[in-house]
Amino acid sequence: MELTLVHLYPDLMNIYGDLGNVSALAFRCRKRGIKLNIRPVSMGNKLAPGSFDLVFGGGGQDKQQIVVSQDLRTKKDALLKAAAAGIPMLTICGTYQLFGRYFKPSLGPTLTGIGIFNAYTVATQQRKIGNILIKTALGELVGFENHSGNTYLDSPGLAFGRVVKGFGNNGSDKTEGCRAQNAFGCYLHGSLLPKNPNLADYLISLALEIKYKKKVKLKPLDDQLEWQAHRASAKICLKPGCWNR
Amino acid sequence: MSSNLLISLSIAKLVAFFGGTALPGLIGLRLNPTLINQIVKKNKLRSIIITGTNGKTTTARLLGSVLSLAKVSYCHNRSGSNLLRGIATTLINQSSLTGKLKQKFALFEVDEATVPAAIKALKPKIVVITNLSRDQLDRYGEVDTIIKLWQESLDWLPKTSLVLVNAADRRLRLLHHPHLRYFGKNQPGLGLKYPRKFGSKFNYDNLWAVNAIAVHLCLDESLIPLAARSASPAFGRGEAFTLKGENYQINLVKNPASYKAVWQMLLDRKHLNQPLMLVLNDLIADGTDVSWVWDVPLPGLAGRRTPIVVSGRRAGDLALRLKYAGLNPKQIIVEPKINRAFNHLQAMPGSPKYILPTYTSMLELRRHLNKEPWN
Repeated sequence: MELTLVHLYPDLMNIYGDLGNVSALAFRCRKRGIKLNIRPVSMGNKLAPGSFDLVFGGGGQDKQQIVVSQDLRTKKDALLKAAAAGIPMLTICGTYQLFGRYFKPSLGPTLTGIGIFNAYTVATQQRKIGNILIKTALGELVGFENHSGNTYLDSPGLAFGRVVKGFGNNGSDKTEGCRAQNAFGCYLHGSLLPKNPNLADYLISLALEIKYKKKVKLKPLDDQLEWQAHRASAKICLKPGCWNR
Repeated sequence: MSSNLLISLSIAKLVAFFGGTALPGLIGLRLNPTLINQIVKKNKLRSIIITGTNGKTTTARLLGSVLSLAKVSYCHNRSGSNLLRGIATTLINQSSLTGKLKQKFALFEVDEATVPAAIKALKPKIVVITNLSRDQLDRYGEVDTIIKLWQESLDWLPKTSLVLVNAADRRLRLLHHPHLRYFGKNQPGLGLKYPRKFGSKFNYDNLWAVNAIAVHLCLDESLIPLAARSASPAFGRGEAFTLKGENYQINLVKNPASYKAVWQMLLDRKHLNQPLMLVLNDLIADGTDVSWVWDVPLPGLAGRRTPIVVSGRRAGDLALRLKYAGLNPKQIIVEPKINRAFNHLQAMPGSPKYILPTYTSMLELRRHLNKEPWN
């Protein structure tokens, strides 16, 4: 089996170790004999509808977000079609914000998003930084958030998860991230996928099911180190009086 | 002379009597927020500040050796106390009760985010910027925030002061000041060859920085290779020790850039397969966000047959980083407790052995090592 992963703007949107997510997908595919082609797609690169099976986009700084939001227009059509077809996507922080309707930075004009998520983001003066733990339909996810934007969902039901500890989308409504079909957006860096292998595997199996149009059961891997790291991070995050809260 | 200076200095000096690198300065500044500036004015103190993500301590140390060889007396803040309070403590310790200093020169390592305050208080004659890369984003937010902060500080700097910027770091090209000069190997007037003494690429940049300062201060440049040979590596920057007949080396790794440099040094020395212990903590001084380890490429692990010990509060994250870099999980020993991890390292055959800790884990390791019976 073979999958093509589009890594959006790896040169511009990779500020908080997001590369680890791509490493995790590659590693977990390789271990199962699935060939994962990683296709970096950045400024000016063409993205044709139907040419990929998985999408990943990471976090970036405000300045990079401006140029990315402009360039994303050229890829909007392909991405919207893919989202409608159920192609799994994982977007984190900066890319998540631009997959919503818009992002209003603290300075300068509003950045238009591609609207896969029914959500919008507004920059605030309070930077939300620290360990975060959320509960999702896939189980508990742990990571590290670092964002000044507050994201608001059109309805709480769109949330990817519920905040157990941390700020989440906006620090007030306990929602975190957004899910639209198989497109996921969230604020969890960490990197997220290495120590949340359940999510990594879910994305891979979704991609395979869409592409090969059949139920896929992934071969279990030895995830002892993954869960050990997950538990240790969760413990640090949940510790009462956590020093970074 | 203001009585305020006398009072704040007396109290701060009393606190300093009990030791500490931060508290005397903290109290002094609380009592008298312009304490630093008053001392600077009183003594016409000419200061050099060194900032940047990496190489502050090594550059300051090297420049210190050059100044000493040139018989210039200077005061210098100790590594790790590079916030405003550390600068204040240094001045409090060195001055008389009336705020008089013996030295006319001061050399300060300054934390990236402290640059604006330090420039306002010290009005330095020279500002040296070594480089800028991702480090402790949990504190600073974004790399661009730091550049903005630095530019704002340079706007405050007297026009006659000199700003020396590393030519090799393209990010720093955004900075401007009427008296800004680049340093580096391709800059005119600098054709020196230096011995490969400390073993990592930063040390070249540090040498170029010191060279540029020396040229500006009209110091004899031939002192630099002498200083480079005589200066011992700074705390945790390639510091070596022997325990039970085996050699150890500690190399501080605090961000992707320093990790890459140390890793490259291990590859260059063909020492990557030596016994190795990596420690990752996530306390404030380390940076509470450990996702940066995923920005470090760790080549050369695929065929490795000797285990690597991973330790610290975030040992688990390190273990995963190694696994995804291609190391066989059987070769990963996860031991969050540093003392137990060190026992594993000790038991591994081979010397020298390398320890790559983050800042607070280096301090913890040091406390543990001080309890070891030495021979």
